[in-house]
Amino acid sequence: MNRTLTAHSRNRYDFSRWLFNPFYYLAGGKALAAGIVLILATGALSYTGGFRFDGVLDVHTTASSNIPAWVYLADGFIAWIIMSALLLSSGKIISISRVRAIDIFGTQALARWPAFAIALFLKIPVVQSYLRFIYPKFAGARVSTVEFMISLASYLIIVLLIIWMVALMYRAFTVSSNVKGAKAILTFIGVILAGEILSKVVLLYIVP
Amino acid sequence: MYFSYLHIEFSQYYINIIKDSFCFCPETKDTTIMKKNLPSICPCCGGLMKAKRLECPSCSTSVEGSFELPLLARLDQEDQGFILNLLKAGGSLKELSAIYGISYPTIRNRLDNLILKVDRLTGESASNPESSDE
Repeated sequence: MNRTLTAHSRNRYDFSRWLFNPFYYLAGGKALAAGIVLILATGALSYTGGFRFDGVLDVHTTASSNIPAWVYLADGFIAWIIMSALLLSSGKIISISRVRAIDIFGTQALARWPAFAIALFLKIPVVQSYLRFIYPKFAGARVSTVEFMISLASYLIIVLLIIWMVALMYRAFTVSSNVKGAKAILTFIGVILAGEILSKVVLLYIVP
Repeated sequence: MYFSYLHIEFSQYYINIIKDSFCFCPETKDTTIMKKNLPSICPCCGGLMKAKRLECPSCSTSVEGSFELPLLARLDQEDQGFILNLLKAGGSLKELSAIYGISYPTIRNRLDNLILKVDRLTGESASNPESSDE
């Protein structure tokens, strides 16, 4: 009788799935807890490092020194809450399945873990110092080719991590809402644009 | 009953190994018991298959006709296993997600997609006219 009750655990150790679609294994409350810890950690690192994640997709490698500490923490939470709320509303409209808020919020929080990786990367002292070279280069100042290439490579890594984060956010949305195809893609694009605008407006009002 | 079936399977397995070891002209080299999947879709035209003949292996009685496959038999093995597991988990998706080791929304999505599949199959069988028995 127990023959059919075999755990299909062969996917449990699928490393590529854990990298690109961890929500296959992890969602709900556990994802929410892990995601919140990561958002807090990202905020703490950005405060100590002097860079900001002000918006759904934004990373600013330098930040004004007048910004209070709580704003660095609020950045991540504002972006997460806005995206999750918009995706939850859209998911309930377009999905045939029951969409749970805890799944949307949890998976979206966890999907922001590449932002933590970006924060860790930016905390490396040599990275921060080399990132400054790219702007003078464009302004026509003298910068050695090696310095410029290192700076460019650093920005490329950040861009790739942002792309990874967006891909994870999309995956989180499709898994939590059970939507796929063109409907999912178009909805997600609309939400991310609206989320970016909304997050900027909110930050404009709350940041002193 | 399951234990008896498993017992017979393993016994047959070892009997086959012994046969192949000592017999110089083995009837078959295949020491594994092949599990055959019941096809429900025609591989040529994609139509719904029907059972034409049923046979009793113990007394060789056979019944011929045109028997529509039950709805559950038309699903693939993975889906059938999923339904059985859902039944044994008492309908609890939470328990099922623990058994499969995957997240709750993934299990729920699978169930919803299976419901759509069943609805489609139900619609197809309603639209196919029944053929007369031979």
